[in-house]
Amino acid sequence: MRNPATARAVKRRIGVVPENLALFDNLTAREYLTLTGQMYGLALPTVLDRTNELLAMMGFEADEKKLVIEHSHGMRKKLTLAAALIHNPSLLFLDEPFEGVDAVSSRILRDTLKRCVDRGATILLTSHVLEIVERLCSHVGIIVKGNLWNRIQWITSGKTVRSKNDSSKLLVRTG
Amino acid sequence: MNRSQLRTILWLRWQLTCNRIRRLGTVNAIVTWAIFAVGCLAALGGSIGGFLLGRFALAKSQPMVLLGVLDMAVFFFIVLWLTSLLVELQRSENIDLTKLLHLPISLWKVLVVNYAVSLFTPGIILTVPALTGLTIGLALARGFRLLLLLPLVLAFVFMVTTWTYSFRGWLSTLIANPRRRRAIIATLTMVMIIAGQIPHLLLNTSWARTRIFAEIKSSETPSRSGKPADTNLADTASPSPSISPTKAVRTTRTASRQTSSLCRIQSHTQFQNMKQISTAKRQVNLTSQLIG
Repeated sequence: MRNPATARAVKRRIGVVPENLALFDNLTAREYLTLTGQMYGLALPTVLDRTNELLAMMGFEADEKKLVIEHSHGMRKKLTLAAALIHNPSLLFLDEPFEGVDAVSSRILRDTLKRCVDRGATILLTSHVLEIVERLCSHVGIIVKGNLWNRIQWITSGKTVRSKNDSSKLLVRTG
Repeated sequence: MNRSQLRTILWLRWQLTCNRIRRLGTVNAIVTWAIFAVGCLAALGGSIGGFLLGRFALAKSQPMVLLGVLDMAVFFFIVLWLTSLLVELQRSENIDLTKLLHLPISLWKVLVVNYAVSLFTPGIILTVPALTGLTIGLALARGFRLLLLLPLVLAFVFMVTTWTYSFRGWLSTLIANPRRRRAIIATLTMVMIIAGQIPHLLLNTSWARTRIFAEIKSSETPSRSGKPADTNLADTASPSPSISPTKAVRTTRTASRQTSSLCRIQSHTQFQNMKQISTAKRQVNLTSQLIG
């Protein structure tokens, strides 16, 4: 990954929702998606088609002329996720995607993520809310003091999985 | 970065500016565009004016005059640049590279493009065309060696702008915290205003006047015979029928040196002693006549 060309090739295959969202305040949602699509090297007609599709999916049609700075936090999260999906990545990194998001937006985000998984994409998300994790994830890794915990648990339906590391006292209950 | 990405970065910069102006409201947008148009016209006028100034008005002027004109232009550029730096810092949204880190682009190329686009500010638009016109005019009037002034001017502009680009990035990260924003902008404005007052403080305050006056006094050092310099000058250059041509030439040179030193003192202070100058010049004329 130290080779810039390799790093760029990898970045073309992944989508990212960073914690600070990395949006430009003075762009509209459509402009931001167009910018992202162009940066991923998509052809302009493809970018326009995907933008229309994602704007409709995320419910931005009514507020299309609003600038990013005028949107709520939930809308910004949805826009960032839409931008991360514009090039159909095979791997998605989401940093706290449900933090500060209202119920309706949360539902839309979850549905979108499910569709991505159905399509065959891998999603890696971080969250402090274990209920969200157990509802969405098939594999769980727990980070303790900056290090990945030594076990990645497979969530099985209806069972409670207890960690073998007694010192951490962490539990993951499956639903 | 391919051509499409480069075009997208430029489009991004343009779109951010347009949307910012749109956000200001209709009246503000009209005023802003009008100012932009006036700025473009002023740049055109400045380049033509600079060319005419260099080609005709400064065609046979003294180097000190030329230096004065260039100093004025540089001063004008720095004032405009610092003002626009403060305004841009508060108003515009720069292309923050951290917002592009996850995209498959070469960041150093984005940095270069972003810097190049950041050069389109009033300071540059008004000053650089005028200086370019001046250089071309001077080159036509006084010889093509003066075209070397152009790379010097551009080097100066790039030196100032790259430094302030880096400085602006640092300030942007500082004012990202809204609690510090006002304090930093107020402090920075005060520092710039006070820094702009330094020449005035050095030359025009009563303390500075006293110091300069003392310097003038000390420059009038007594000669071997204990007389002041101007008296000595009058003595050495007095018309004497027994003076040899070699001595007359030497006396002329001494008088010229003293004249130029007096002129230098005059140009740096506001206490003009016209009597000294006229005496020295009279002596120069007299000795020149003697040589003749």
